[in-house]
Amino acid sequence: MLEKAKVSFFLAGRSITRGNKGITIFTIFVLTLIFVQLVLFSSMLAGVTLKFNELMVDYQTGNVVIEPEEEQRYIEDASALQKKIESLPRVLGTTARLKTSGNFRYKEKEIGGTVYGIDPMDESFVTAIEDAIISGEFLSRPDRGEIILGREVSGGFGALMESRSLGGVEVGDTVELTIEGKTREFRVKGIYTTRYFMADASAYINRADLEEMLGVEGQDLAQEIAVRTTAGTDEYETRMALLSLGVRENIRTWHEFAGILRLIENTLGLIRNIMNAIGLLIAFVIIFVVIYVNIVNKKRQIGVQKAIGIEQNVIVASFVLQAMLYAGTGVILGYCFMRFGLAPYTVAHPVEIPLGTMSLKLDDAEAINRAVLLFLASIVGSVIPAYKLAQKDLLELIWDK
Amino acid sequence: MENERENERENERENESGIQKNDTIIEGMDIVRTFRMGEVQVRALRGVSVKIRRGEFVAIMGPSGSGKTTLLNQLGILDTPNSGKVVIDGTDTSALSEKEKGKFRLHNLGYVFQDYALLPELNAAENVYLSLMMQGKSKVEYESAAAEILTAVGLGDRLAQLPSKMSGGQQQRVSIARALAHSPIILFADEPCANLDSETSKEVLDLFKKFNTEYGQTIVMVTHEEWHAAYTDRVIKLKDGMLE
Ligand SMILES: Nc1ncnc2c1ncn2[C@@H]1O[C@H](COP(=O)(O)OP(=O)(O)O)[C@@H](O)[C@H]1O
Ligand SMILES: [Mg+2]
Repeated sequence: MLEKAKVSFFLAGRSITRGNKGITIFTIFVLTLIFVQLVLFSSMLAGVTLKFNELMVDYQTGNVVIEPEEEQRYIEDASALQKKIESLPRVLGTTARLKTSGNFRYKEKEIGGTVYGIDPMDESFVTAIEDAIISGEFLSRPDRGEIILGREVSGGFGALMESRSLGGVEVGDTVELTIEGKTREFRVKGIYTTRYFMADASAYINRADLEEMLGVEGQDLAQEIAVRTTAGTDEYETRMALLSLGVRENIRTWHEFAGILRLIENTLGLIRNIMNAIGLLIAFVIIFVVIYVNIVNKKRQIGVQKAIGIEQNVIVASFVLQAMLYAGTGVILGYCFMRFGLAPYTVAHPVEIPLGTMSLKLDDAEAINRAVLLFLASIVGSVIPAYKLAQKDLLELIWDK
Repeated sequence: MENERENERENERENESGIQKNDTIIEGMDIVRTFRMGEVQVRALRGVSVKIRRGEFVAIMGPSGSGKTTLLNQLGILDTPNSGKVVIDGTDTSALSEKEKGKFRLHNLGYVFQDYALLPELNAAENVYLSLMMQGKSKVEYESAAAEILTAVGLGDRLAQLPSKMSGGQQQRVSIARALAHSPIILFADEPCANLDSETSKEVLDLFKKFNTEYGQTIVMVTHEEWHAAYTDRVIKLKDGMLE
């Protein structure tokens, strides 16, 4: 048994070191490309997911969001609760928001969107909206009747859905906002973009303005309190700390808001699986063809080996080992290319995609999974032609031209 | 008295070394081999019976197409006859499976082909020791055996050379070394000198002769050169697939 393996390894090794270098390099190159192709889409998906999550945390949810208790519309005594939460050592800030959907109108155009009523100072401690301003300025506390619009609401500044926007509102213009039947005019103080379509379809006004429009002035109500913790704090721990503070409201970590994203991920995941299947099939066919051509050229040698008394299995195994080595090298090169080349490059130079910018994120578990599949494809792709040929009559192998 | 004792000792020695010129080492019985080429049947061998004794150097001769190669392939169990059988050293090879035949060839038979048939990716020593490796010999054993036999064929200084860097004569000597490395019961050679000039042919034949006389190596060689016959003990003549 051992001597058989030894002979297989010996023949495979010599074939690689002394065989046609061009064929070896070509085969490995092709397998490298196939591996990259197999992990690329997953990496893109992972990159988009990561970006989405960052975005959500940075511009919307913070790390943890507190929502009204079951069956309640508002969180009561919001500022007291904020103070209590801010006393926790790992909490950097909290922002209490009112949130509703409204209708924007500018000249002939009218669209719907989400409107947040915020305390601008508090908001700046939790989210980065203030840094996302591309025109004008962010709100300040005493501002009344002023509004910050997302790029998708204003139109212009490279908005994606220009036709479904207000068509080019600029700072200083006045827009009409209708909430629950009440209409008021707001002066546009600033326009922001997170570069992500969904986050850019909202608007911010002072909480006092929204309280007034909702008819809840001076009641210290909020619909959500977003909490920002120090970097690296586990959200689960934050939740525990909040519970032990006696917070009875609904506490949700940002992960729980990734629901829509998961839906997108699942849809894209299906596409990814189809692409993987196609990729593997191509891998299989290419490996099959390359190994087949390689083996057919060695017909005579196989015949001679059989004549000498080298077992058929040993001969087949020598070709399979070769294919496995090619696949292994291809996987390693492909992995290195992704891990140390393409992925870091896209981190340094993010790719512009319709949703915003994207960097590749290589997931090791996925990479291992693809490597195993590619390996299996190379085994099957080499066993079949090698076995078919080695089984032939040895005189035929030696003398057939 | 003295002479008888001497004789007895001689016999004993022969027994020990296994050299008994008179016992049959290989016997082909009524071998028929027919090839089918489309509609036509080619009767390459039509009932050939041969006996070869241990230690013999036999030539198979005959015109082109007379069935020499086919006969050698049957005797060397590289091919299977349609009827008849081949018994080698007491083993009825017709009873062996393909796998067993492979094993039998590996341990007991050696081949020299007309065009050397060396494995191009292996150097001289590796070509020679491949079968020993397959037999499960240790690295030390097979490497020293290869060096020894290559030295015996005059290539002791070319162990690591690749076949592509060698002349035809050198390649054929590697192939002889390969065929002999595992001390086969019989060495089969199909026109080993066909691609060599007469000078090199002589060297190769001398080598065969040397192994035959010095080590008692049984050799069955196909040739169509009349002058080769002088090197051998006996000639088996074929014509149209039958003994002449
Ligand atoms: N594999 C084969 N298929 C068909 N015909 C064959 C095959 N091998 C040999 N023959 C035929 O058998 C006859 C004997 O061939 P061979 O033994 O090679 O002759 P020799 O070696 O004496 O020249 C020839 O007519 C040859 O064409
Ligand atoms: Mg012939």
